[in-house]
Amino acid sequence: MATIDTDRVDKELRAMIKTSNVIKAQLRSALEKLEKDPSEFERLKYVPPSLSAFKNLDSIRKIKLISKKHDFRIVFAHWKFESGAEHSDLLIAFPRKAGYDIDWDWIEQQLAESEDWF
Amino acid sequence: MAKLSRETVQRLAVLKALSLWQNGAYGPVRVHKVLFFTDKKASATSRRNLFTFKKWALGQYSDEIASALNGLRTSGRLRNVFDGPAERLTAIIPRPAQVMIDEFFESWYPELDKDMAVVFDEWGYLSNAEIIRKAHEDHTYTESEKGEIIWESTLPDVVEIAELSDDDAENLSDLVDPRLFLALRDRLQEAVKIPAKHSDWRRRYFCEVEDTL
Repeated sequence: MATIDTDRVDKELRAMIKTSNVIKAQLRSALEKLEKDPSEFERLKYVPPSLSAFKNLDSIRKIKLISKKHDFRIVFAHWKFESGAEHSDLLIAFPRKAGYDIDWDWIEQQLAESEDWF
Repeated sequence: MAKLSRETVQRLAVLKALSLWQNGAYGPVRVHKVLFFTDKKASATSRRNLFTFKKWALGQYSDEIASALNGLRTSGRLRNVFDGPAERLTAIIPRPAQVMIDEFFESWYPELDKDMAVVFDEWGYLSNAEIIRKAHEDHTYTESEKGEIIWESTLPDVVEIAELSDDDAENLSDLVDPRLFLALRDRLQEAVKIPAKHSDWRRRYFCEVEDTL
């Protein structure tokens, strides 16, 4: 069983949940799966060496949440410690635009509206 | 049908060109010229131009190539080394990613590989002085004013590619995305500094009581 830190993408996850019940259900299921085994998720391909050199970092992986209208990704760091404990830090969460570009405007909008959440 | 943004296609083309120099390209001038004369070959047969070029001090120059080089450096795909008379630009690209890029261009733009190889053989290893001399003799330089656009890129903002899968398009896009690299680097550096802690996500997002940990 792995621990999960969602703090860095808290606003983004809340915004995703609001988009549809399908995405909300997919997120719940993904977090449950992540808790059971982070290595079940696809690795982010071709990670540059400068991003993979952190101590105890096993891999960088991604979660896909896709419904008809929405196409979200959550990228997380999967850490494995000497004690045997495993941990996932959700690093960044975003929708994809046409052309597979990350929708950075959406991310900035969530950060700008952060005070609305609390 | 998968889609890639114009910027992604341009970064991939620059990365493909950079990978032709086995030990790196000495200076960006030769990178601009190899891509310019590759594009020129394409113009001659009415195909496509990947970049917009203008006449500039050292010959045919593209702001888009300069932007792509900056993006590739930021995304960890280009290393600058100062170990000779000029800065050496080296592509950092894992073999499977190189194969994916080559396959992408082979299917979407089959002529590029051949055109680029021909131009590279002629221009790739000339001295900078020779490159500038030759570039200044070309009619695209002699027949235009400084700052004048020689030709515009024919790429649309979003390029539709029938032969590419959605997964490959996403991987190609992520490979050369400088903002993704910066965001991941910053957040990893932040995460590594603090002890691992568990968020009560069931309560936080789904109003449930945590019962597993």
